[in-house]
Amino acid sequence: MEIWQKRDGDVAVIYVKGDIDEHTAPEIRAFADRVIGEGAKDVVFCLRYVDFMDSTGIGMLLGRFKNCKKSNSRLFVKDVNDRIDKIFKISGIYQVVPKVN
Amino acid sequence: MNNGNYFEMKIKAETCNESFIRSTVAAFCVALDPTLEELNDVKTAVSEAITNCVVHAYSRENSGEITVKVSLSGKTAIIEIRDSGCGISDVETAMKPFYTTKPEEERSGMGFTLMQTFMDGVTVKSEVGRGTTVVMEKTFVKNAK
Repeated sequence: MEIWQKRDGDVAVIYVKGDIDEHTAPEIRAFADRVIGEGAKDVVFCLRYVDFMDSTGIGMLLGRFKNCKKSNSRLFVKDVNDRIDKIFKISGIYQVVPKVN
Repeated sequence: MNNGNYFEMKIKAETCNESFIRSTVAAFCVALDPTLEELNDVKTAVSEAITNCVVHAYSRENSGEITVKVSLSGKTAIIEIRDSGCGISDVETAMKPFYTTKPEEERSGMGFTLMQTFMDGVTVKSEVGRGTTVVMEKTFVKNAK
C-alpha cells in the first residue's frame, strides 16, 4: 500500500494505492490524521488506485470524518469504483462523507 | 471435474495474511468461471470473516490459527472459515448491521452484513471459549447466462 497527498490551498487530496484492510488501515489513519492536523479545510480521499477495500475502510473513514468535524474541516471521497461504491451504499457512508468529482 | 474438489489451509491469524487468504480463496474459485464482480464479492466476504478472526476471536496477546476450507460443488463454492478463539455469546446480535463490541477502535460493525450481502448464504456457529465457524456459499451463475 502506498499513500501520498497533494495539497492545493485549503484542499488536501489523499491518494491510496493498493488495499485498504485491517493490515493497511493503521498507516492510512495516521497519515490522514496528520493531513487533517495540518489544517486542510477540505480533505478528499481519492480511491482511484485502490484495488480492494472491506468494511475496515468504512470504519477508518468514519473515524476521519469525526476528526475532520473536530477540526472544522470536511471529508469527501472521489473516484470510487463500482466495487467500493457497493460497500459505501450498503453502509450509508455517503450521508456523512459525500462523493465529489 | 470440479465436483468434490477442495483445499484446506491453516494459517496464523495475523493482519498480514488477510490479502493472501482472500486472494487464494478467489483463485481457487476461478475454476467455476465466475465473473469479476462475483470474485470480488467472495474476496470481500472472506476478508470480513478473516478480520473477525484476527480482531475479535483472538487478541494481540493470544493470537491463534485460522482454518480455511473451500469446497466446490457444481457452480457453488462453499467457504468455511474457522477459528479457535473466544467465540461469540450472542450470534444473532453480533450479526446485526452496525453492531460492534469495539466502537473505540473505529469498527464499522458491517462485517456480517457485507458477508450476507455478497454471498448467497452465511451460517455462523460459535461457542464461547471454543471458537467460531463461518460457512459461506456462493453460486456463480452470471457467466452461465
